[in-house]
Amino acid sequence: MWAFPADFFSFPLNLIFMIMWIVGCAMLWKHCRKSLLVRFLLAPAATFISIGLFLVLCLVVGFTGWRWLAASWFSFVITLLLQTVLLFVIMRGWRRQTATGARLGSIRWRFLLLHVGLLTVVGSSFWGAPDNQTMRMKAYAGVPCNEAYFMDGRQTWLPYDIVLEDFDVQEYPGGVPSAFRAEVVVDGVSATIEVNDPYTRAFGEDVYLVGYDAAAGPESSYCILEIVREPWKYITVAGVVMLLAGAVLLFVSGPSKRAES
Amino acid sequence: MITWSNFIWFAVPAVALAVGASVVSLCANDHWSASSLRYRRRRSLALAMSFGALAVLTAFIVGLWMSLERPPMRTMGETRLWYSFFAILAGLLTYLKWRYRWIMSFSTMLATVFIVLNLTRPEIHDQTLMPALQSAWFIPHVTVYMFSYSLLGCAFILAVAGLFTRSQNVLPAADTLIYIGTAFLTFGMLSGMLWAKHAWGHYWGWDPKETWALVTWLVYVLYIHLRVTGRGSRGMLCFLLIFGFACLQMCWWGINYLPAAQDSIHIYNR
Repeated sequence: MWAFPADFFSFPLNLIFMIMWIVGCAMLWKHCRKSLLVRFLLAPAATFISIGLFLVLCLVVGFTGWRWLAASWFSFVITLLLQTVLLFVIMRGWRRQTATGARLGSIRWRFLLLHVGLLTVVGSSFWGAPDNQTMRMKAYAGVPCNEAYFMDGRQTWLPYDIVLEDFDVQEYPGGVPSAFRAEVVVDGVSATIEVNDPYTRAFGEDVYLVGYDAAAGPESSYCILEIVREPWKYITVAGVVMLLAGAVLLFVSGPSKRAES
Repeated sequence: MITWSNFIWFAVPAVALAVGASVVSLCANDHWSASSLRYRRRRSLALAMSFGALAVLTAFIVGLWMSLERPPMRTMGETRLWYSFFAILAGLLTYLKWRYRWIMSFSTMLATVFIVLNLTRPEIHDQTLMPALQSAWFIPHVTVYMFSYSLLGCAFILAVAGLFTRSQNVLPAADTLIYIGTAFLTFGMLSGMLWAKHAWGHYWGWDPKETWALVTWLVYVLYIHLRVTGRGSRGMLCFLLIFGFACLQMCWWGINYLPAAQDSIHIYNR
């Protein structure tokens, strides 16, 4: 009942709405700077409220295990608020920067990297979510297969075949697996897939080795592959890199003077 | 070969040295001048003993690493070992920088609790390393988190002191610990995201461990924003730091006992 209909907003609708949201915020910032809404979004209270609401959402998910909340209207609204506050704070920070004449030495790298990085990570997961697809396939040795299932059980067919050529499990004494790998042919190209070593078939599409018949162990006749399509994944990486650089500066330069006084 | 059964021979000297360092640093009087000979003697002795405790624990960690033939970072006991090590280190660094004479007593107490837990809990002898953990991300991900936890542990001690004593303003010192601790929390969470994408296919899956890591991060981010904008009373800020430390413990081991978190895929350290 509370689920947000993310599938409806798949490409290109998500991109259109994202651009409309950015342009809308920029227009509001440019033309209605004195309005109550803009003043609220730029007040410290808006920062505390958006972080606080997100914190409450995470606490509820943490205590109850209700993962559906993360895909609900609640988290849609809270995440959109967080992004809007971030965007306004970044626009103000950028203006202060350019208003004083941006010399390279005076750029507030830490502020910009942390806030733009966080907005990029949250934004790419948020706006890119409708385009993500996760499918699983049970691949039997030597049998070409293109039949896969989405995580909710819907059947689908890949536009190419995957053939399991060889499969190998090594175990510790006691039956705990120490390593397993699959030799597969994906769309005519042979590859080795291991846990922690997926095969990248195309831009934003990776094939993972998820499991095998654990009861049969090394005699398993099949293995389970997961095909993940995440077209926005490199944008997330860009955000992660910015956040990492910002965190390095957080470590290097420490508390700002204002906080110490 | 150094295994967990030899741990007592390292634990006792390490705790003794750390306790010695705490007592010596505590015995200095607040009225002594920082340049006086008796103060400098006490301080050097405390620092030397603290370094000694770290050296003993380092020897055990190196020996355990070699005998396990894998990084000792997987089980609960192994992360406790790193935490004890980093707690003593964080106490030492805080003492070096701010000269709080009581800080090492508390960091030693924190380290001792986890050392004693490791001595009394037998479930620490597991040598297996499952395929999901066989990754270049494993060592940085865990050490970065344990280092950050120990810094935030010291900030927690400062916050408790700040709640019960009105004499000293501990928040400037806590700020530095929080900035560094949050930077390392960020490294830990982002390395976890990249690793999760590589191993499981998704950056974020709302796994209980991930959710609680985000909760912890958000609490400290909220603290930083409150401080930067100059909001919040001292008591409220101290309370926030204590709450953040509670969330951190939840993320580290509390979720093992949380009914809603039993489907976690971060189950290596059960």
